[in-house]
Amino acid sequence: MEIAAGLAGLLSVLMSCVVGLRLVLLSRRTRQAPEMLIGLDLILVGAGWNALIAVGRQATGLPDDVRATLVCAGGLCAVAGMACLMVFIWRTFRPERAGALVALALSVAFASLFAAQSFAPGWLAFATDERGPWTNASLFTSFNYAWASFESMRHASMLSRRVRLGLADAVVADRVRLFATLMATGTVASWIFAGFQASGVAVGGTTIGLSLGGTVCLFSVALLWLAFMPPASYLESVRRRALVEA
Amino acid sequence: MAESKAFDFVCSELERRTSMTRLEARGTVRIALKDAGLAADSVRGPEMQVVLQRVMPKELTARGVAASEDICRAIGAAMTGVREDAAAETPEAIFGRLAGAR
Repeated sequence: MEIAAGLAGLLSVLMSCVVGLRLVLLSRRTRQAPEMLIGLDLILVGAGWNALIAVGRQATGLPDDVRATLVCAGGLCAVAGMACLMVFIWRTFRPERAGALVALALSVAFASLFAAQSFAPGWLAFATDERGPWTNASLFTSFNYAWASFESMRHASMLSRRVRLGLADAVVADRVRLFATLMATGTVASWIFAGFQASGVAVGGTTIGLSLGGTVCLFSVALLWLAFMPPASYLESVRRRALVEA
Repeated sequence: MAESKAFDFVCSELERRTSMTRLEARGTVRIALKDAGLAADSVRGPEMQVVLQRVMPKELTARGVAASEDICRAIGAAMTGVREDAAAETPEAIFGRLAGAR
């Protein structure tokens, strides 16, 4: 189980890195912020946070200060990446004052967890015993993902109606739907992890944590692949389906 | 949030050409837009033309408006002169670019 979950996690980190880097490079060509924001989110959260926290928590042979530095860097990646995601959602789906306020509030709330853990009991406590305010990170990210899910699902639903009238491209509508599913996956996974942690069930490195984490990782990899690096055959099937439904 | 010029134009034309009140006209157009997956604050002329052709007639008929197709056709023809504000970047445009990375 450990090996399978580890491979799924590694695949997820690699996929997040590849897609994130492609999007950052795209933003250099287009000089547009949205692709930069979502690319940084994938690199920082999908790759940085997951990999650094996993190594910092699991590599018990490393010196304590190295483990504390790794999980602290992972936390920093999470805060920065989530802020990028929130700004992306605000600018893409709700570019108005209310959207800006929600994005700011969720980003500040999550950053306050990082500050609280840094203040006391410090990152070594999290690296060794998973103690401190950062244990609520899953709960806090669930709020971020819930907002991202709500906005993207709402838009995906609008786009599917537009596709039927020939007012939107079926491939783009499908990409928004896949992105919304990715955000919903993040929401549900965060809720489940937060629920386990709240009821005292350990998830870090346990069978239940590894199997859940591995499943989420594999599902996310599939969604990232289809949304951002879709094979031609998949795009063709999306177009065919749209023609049938029109 | 302010509604688009296309939305305001169609509502006022509907009010003028039928016995609908301002509130009824705006509500009917909003329902038609929702059915088409569009929003009053961002709908543009070409999209509104499709709504007038394919969605609005049945909404007007359902509200007892006679000759709904003729009314929609007339509003669509009159709408060609409506000048629109510059549009903000849409989610479709953003997501349309996101798989273009190489």
